[in-house]
This record gives sequence, structure tokens and C-alpha cells, in this order.
Amino acid sequence: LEVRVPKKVLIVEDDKKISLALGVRLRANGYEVLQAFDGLQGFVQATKQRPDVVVLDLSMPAGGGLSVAARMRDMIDLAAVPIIFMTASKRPDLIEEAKKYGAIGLLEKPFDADLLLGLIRQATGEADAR
Amino acid sequence: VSPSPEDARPRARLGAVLVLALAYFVAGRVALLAAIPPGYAAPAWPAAGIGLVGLLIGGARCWPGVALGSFAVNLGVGFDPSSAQTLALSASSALFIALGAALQALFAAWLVGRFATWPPSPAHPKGMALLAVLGGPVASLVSSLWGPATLLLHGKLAASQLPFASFTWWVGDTIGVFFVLPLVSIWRTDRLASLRRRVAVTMPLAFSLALSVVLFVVVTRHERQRIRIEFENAAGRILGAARDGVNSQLETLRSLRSLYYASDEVEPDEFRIFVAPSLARDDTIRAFSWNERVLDARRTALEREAGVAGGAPLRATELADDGGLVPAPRRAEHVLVRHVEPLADNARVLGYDVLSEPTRARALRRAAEAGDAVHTTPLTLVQDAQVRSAIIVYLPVYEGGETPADAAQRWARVRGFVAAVLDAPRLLAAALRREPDDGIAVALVDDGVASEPRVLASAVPWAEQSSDSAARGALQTTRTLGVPGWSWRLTSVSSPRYVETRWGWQPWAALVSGLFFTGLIGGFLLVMTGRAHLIEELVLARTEDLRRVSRDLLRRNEEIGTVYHTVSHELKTPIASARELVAIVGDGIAGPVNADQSEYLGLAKESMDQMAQLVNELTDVARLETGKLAVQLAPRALAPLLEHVVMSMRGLARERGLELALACEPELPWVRADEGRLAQVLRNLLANALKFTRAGGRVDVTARRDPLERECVRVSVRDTGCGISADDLERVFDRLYQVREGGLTAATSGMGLGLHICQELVRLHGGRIWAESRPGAGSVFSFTLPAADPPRGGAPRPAPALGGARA
Repeated sequence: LEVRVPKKVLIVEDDKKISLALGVRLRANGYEVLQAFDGLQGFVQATKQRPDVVVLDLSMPAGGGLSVAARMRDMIDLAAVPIIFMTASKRPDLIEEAKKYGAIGLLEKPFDADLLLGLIRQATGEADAR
Repeated sequence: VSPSPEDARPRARLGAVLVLALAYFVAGRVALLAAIPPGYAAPAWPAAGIGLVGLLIGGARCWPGVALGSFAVNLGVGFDPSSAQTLALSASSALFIALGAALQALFAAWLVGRFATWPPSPAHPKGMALLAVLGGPVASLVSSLWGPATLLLHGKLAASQLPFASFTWWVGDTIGVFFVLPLVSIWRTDRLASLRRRVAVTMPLAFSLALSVVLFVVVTRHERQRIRIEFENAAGRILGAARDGVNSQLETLRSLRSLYYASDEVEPDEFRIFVAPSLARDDTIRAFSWNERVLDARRTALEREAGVAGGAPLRATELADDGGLVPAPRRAEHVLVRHVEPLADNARVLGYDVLSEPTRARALRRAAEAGDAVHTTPLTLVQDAQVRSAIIVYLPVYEGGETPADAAQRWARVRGFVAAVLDAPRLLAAALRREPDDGIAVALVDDGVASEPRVLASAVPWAEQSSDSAARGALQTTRTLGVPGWSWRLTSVSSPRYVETRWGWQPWAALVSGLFFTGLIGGFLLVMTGRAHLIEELVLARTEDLRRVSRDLLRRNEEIGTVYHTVSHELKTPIASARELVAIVGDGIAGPVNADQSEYLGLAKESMDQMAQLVNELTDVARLETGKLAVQLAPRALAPLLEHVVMSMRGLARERGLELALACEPELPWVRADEGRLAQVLRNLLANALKFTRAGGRVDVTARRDPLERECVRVSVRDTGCGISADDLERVFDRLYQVREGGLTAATSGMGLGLHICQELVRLHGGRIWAESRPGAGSVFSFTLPAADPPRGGAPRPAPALGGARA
């Protein structure tokens, strides 16, 4: 019997409802969900908990997703952690910025949870978990 | 202590009256400098304009200023203090003229106040024209009738001169008003006038004035020159006549001498017959005589033998102190008058010893030595009862029929002298008679004999000798008479009125027309620069308005863009959470749901999708409006993209009972496109086509090289739906346009942004989009995209999630 260690996903999102909904959805799909509600918290969580994937909202108080991503990339432990960005805006410059930090995806709100799940699976290498 | 307003007002008015009087006086004096013959009327009378403007500015009550100024000017013009009567007359006429000037100014001011506008405004050119016409030519009628009439009544003007005087008076006043009005209105009343505009009016005016003055000076000089030449010519003719008169008598004398050379003894009858024609010809010569040189011995014989024509014996005589003739004392030689013609008037002189009188003796000796005609200084003839100037010309006759070569021997060889008595006044009168005009006086002057020039004769043809002839610039010329050996000269002087009467109209006309033109220029410039100024101001004001409106619009547009953006952005987050939460419940993650609940939650999710779609459209439009929507173009393979989108719409098509097909031309070129945006366009068109087509119909997507533009690819979405009316077809791509026909509105509501966004996106791609349709016959929406070469090394597939993912 294969013991499946749940993958840790850190959701950094200042909107509690979205965070809640995403958390419920991910937990239902077997992930361990960590939640942070601003950039600073997100970064602290990331350093402490070592998530497998980080889902970052681009615009948040106390440090947007980009600044969190930048700090993560400066730390050896976190430099390789896959990042998925979420945004309510689709400014082309943000998309360019997001690409610079090696994000594996940028999701425009509102998005289908399946898209996020697909990206996370891709990031954790469990291509066909379901 | 400042004066109370009650005190100040009369004092201010008194000041205004005095200023006006002074201005009128100065303008009048200056204008009088230009008063020229004929008529001596000032060609422009700016004082009239000053009077009018003074009353317009200071009020009608300032009229005493005009009267005072005019009185002062006119008193100066005709001032004649020679007697109490003339003094009173001068004052009276000045007073009446001043009243006329004041009356004219009042009348002009009333006319302007009643019919025109003051101060003149460039906005009312008609009012300005009326101001000029009423204040100028119309009002000037008053003074032009009143002034000359006053002069007529005071005896200073002949009735025949009245119309002309009136005319010059009128012209002068009119021009004066024309001249003053523009200057005053640009410098004094037009407060809006910029310095530039003031200069623009004043400079040409000053230039034109200077030009007029220069023209006037030139014409005047030319006129003076012309008159001078005319005078010189007349003087020359008079001189010629005088010279001819003298020469003709000298000729007669020479002929007479020839008679004596031809004959040893000339009988009195012969003498008379010989000179008779000359005496008859003109009255310049009073007498001819033969004066014989007689030695003392021969005198005795002569007194014994010779008889005169009347039979009385010859007696050698000389003048006594009392003027009577007495027998001449015995001397070595005598020169006795032997013959004289006309005898009747001159018989008394026969036997007179010419040598006994120093003046004559001097002339005789000089004549003998010169061998030619010599004249005496003016003297009184022996035979004349009263003093009457005469000049005697002696021509020597020598023994042997010719003039001895040796001058020293000549007196000894003189046989006698032929003589002519010249009447110089008659000579001049005869010369002047040849001139029809009596404008020239002449004087014959002898420079030669006496130490100082002696006036031989003078003739003044006009009546009174005016003392001011020199002051009026009388003309004068002096020339030698031109008789060889004689130092006579003729001086000609013009009469006081000579220049005046010959003065032509050209200078006056030149000045009047120049000043008139100047006045017109002034008015014209005033109006033109005023209009230009107004227009400029208007344009500036309107431009400022437009700038403000445009600024407002831009700001509002930006605000709207911001609102769009903020609203759409802020809407997305709550929609996202609601949608996801609904989905979680619907998926049973939060617990079991029954079939009904699942269906309703599905509907709720659908509504939220719709809402999200609308918000997306809003965001796009806001971006388009503010120019922030950008496409990232790169060469893309079109067919896979089309397949992908069509596949994603299959489900919807099936739901609606429609067939959805895609047909791509083989070897379709690549296109330059932004994949996400291109997919958005296609999805939008497909969604519309599916929406407007009833179940059982079909939707075809085709892609091929554009048959018209070969370097483009055309993608068409054809449906078998209800179609679009021609009116709607035109506006189908407009922002916020919605098809409201066919009862489809409710079912297909949207904000009408989709097609507009499609159009703009296609345009950003460098293509075009259009629709073809007939109601009931379906629609075709087509767009083109520029073809592109595929990149070398195959086609990179971009990460599907980045830049393209949408709900």
C-alpha cells in the first residue's frame, strides 16, 4: 500500500472568501493547505512550512505577490518552489513580471478551480492523480 | 482740503473748456501754416474735428471752448488795428466765425449722438461710418455756409468768391474731422486698443500725412518754378522789346551819319525828310538833331550868313542860370545845333552850344574818342519848359567820311554829331505795351557813368504800390540791356499779386487729396485693425473655451476609464469567491446535495460565469478607451487555434441543438496574432452565432487565404440564424449597440460590448472585421489577419496557462 504524503499548498490571498473556497477545494482534492492573508505572512509561512506549491495573489496589503516571489527566489530553500499567480487584473506588464519569477501559471480571476488543480498537479509532478 | 464734488464739477468743466479752446487754437494755427494761394484757405482744418471730439468727450456744455479757440484763431488771421473801425470789424468777424464753429460742433455732436455711436466701436462699422459722415461732411456744411457769409457781410470777401470760399471751407473742415476722429478714437476712447494697434493706425497715418506734405511741397515748388519761368520769359520779352527800341534808333542815327558822309552840306529839308519815318514810327525818340562843330572863326560867319528855316539868323547860345538862353561867349570851338526835327517843338534849341554844358560836353568828347554812339545821363532838354528827363545819344561824324584810326586825333577831325533824344519812360512803356499782362514793373538803370547806378526810367503798370510786395515773395530779375558799349540794365519786378494770380490749383488739390486720403486711411485702418482685433479676441476666447471643453472631456474620459477599470477589477474578486464557493457546494465537497439543489447551484454558477464575462468585456472596453489594451503579436499557426476554440464551443452547440463545423484551407499561412485575443474574438463570434441560431441550424467556421487581399487570411463564421437588418448591420460593431429585433433581446442580453471589442482587437492585429447578413437568411461575420512567415525551427507552443487562460 502506498502511503501518500499530502502535498503542501500555500495560498497567499487577502480575500478570505476566495482563500476559504480554494482551501476547501484543495483539501477536498487531498492537499494540505496553508493559508496566509498578506504578503509578509505568506513569506513567513513559506519559510517555515516549506510548501510544495505557492499560490500567490498579485495585489495584497503588506507586500504583493511579486515581492513575495522575489524574496522566495532570493532564498536557496525556496528558490525552486513552483509559484502560481492569481490576479484580478490582466495588465500585460504584470504578466511579464510574473514570467520573470518563473511562475508556472497566471490565473485570471474568476477562474475555474480545475485550472488551478491542473497547474498544481503539473507542479507537483502527479500528472494524473485522480 | 479736497474740494467737494459740487465745487469740483464747475471747475473741471472750466478746465475742459480751456483745454478744448487751447487745442482748437493750436490746431487752427498749425493748419493756417498750410494756407496757400489761391484763396488762402487751410487745406485741412483739424480744429473742426477737435471741436466735435471735444464736445463728444466733454459734453455739449463745453461748446464755449470751441467758440473761444475759434475766436482766438480768427482774430489772429484778419487782425487789422489800423483804425478803430477796422479793429471792430476784425473782432466782429472773428466773433461770428467762432459762433459758427461752435454751432457746427454742437450740431455735429447732436447728429452723432442721435444717429451714430460714440465712442466708435469696431464691432459696429456702420456706426463708425455714420460717425465719420455725419461728423465730417454733413456737419461741416454749417461752418462752410456761416463762415464765408460772415466774411461777405464784413466786406472781407467778394460775392463772386463766396461759392469757392464755401467749398474750400467745407473741404478743409471735412478733412480735418476725418483726420482727427481715427487718432482720437485710437488713442483716447478705445481703451482696448493695444499699443501695437495704436501704432498700426498712427504710423500709416503719419506716413500718409508726411507723404501728403512732401507731395504738397514738391508740387508747390514746381508751381513756383513754373511761375518763375513764366515771369522770366515775360521779363525777357520786355527786355528784348526795349533793346530793339534802342537799337532801331541807333540804326537810324548811323544812317543819318551816312547821310552826312555822303553830302558835305545837308539841307534842313533833306534832314527832315530823312528822319521823318523814324519819328513817325514810335514816340521813343523825341527828336533828331545835327550838331555841328564850329570853330570860333566860322561861328562869326555862320551867325552872319546862315539862316534857319524860319528865316531868323543863327545865334550861338547857351543856358543862363535862370534857365533862359543867352548868347554864348566867344570860345575856341563850339558844337552848335544846326538842324532839329520835329522842328516845331524844338526850334528853341537851334544854335544852342552843346559844348557849353558839361554833361553834354562830356558825352560829346567820349563819343568823338570812341567813334561810336554815346549817351548822356538823364538831363532836361533846353527846349523843355518843365523838368522832364531825357537822354541824348550822340554819334560823331568825322571829316573825310571815316573814323580816324588814331584816337588822339579824333576830336580834331570831328565835323559834328548826329543826335537822338531818347525818352526812356516811353521806351519802357512801349516795351511793356507788348506784354498783355500788367503784372511786371520795370526799371532801366545805368551802371556806367555815375559812381552809383542811376535809374534812367521806371514803369509800374499797376495802380497801388503795395508795401508788402516783398513779403509776398515778389519775383525780380535783372539783365543787361545788351546794347554794345552801353552799361544799361533792365530790372523787372513782379506785382504783389503776380504770383498769387498765376498760382494753379495743383498744390491745393494735391494737399487736399493727400489729406483726404490720409483721413480715409485713418478710418479704414481704425475699422480694419479694430475688426482684426475683435476677431483675434473672439478666436482666442473660443479657442480657450474649446481647450477647456477638451480638457474636461479628456479628464472625464480618464475618470470613466478609471471607474470602468476599478469597478470591473473590484467585481472580479467577489465574483470569483462566490463562483468558487457555489462550485464547491455544487460539487458536493461541502456535503451531499440533492438533484434539485445541484441544478440550481449549476444555474447560479452559470449566472456568475455570465457576470464574469461581462466584467471582462467592461475591462477590455475600459482598456480600449484609454489605449491601454495591447496585443502581443507573434507568428502563430492559425488552424490549431481555431480547432481548439471550436472544440471548446462544441458542448454549447450540442446543448442548443446546432451543428458546429470547422473547415480550414490546406496549407493555410501563419498569421501574426495574439493567441489569447484571437481566441477571444473567435469565441465571441461563435457565441453570437450560436446564440442567434435556433435549434436545427448550423454554424460554420472557415479559414482561407483572403481572395482579395492575398497577404491576409480570412476567418468567417457563418450561421443560419435570424439574420440582421441592413440598419443594424451598419451599427453592429458600435460600442453598446444591441440587436433588439426578433424578440431575442431578453434571451441574449449583454452590454453590446462583445462585437465592439472584437472589432478593436482585429484592428489591433492589423486586420478588419465586417458582417454580411439578410434578415432570415443568416449572417456571416468575417475578419482578416495579416499572414506571417512561420519562425525558423518550428512552432513553439506557448505555455497554455500563461497569457491565454480565461473562464
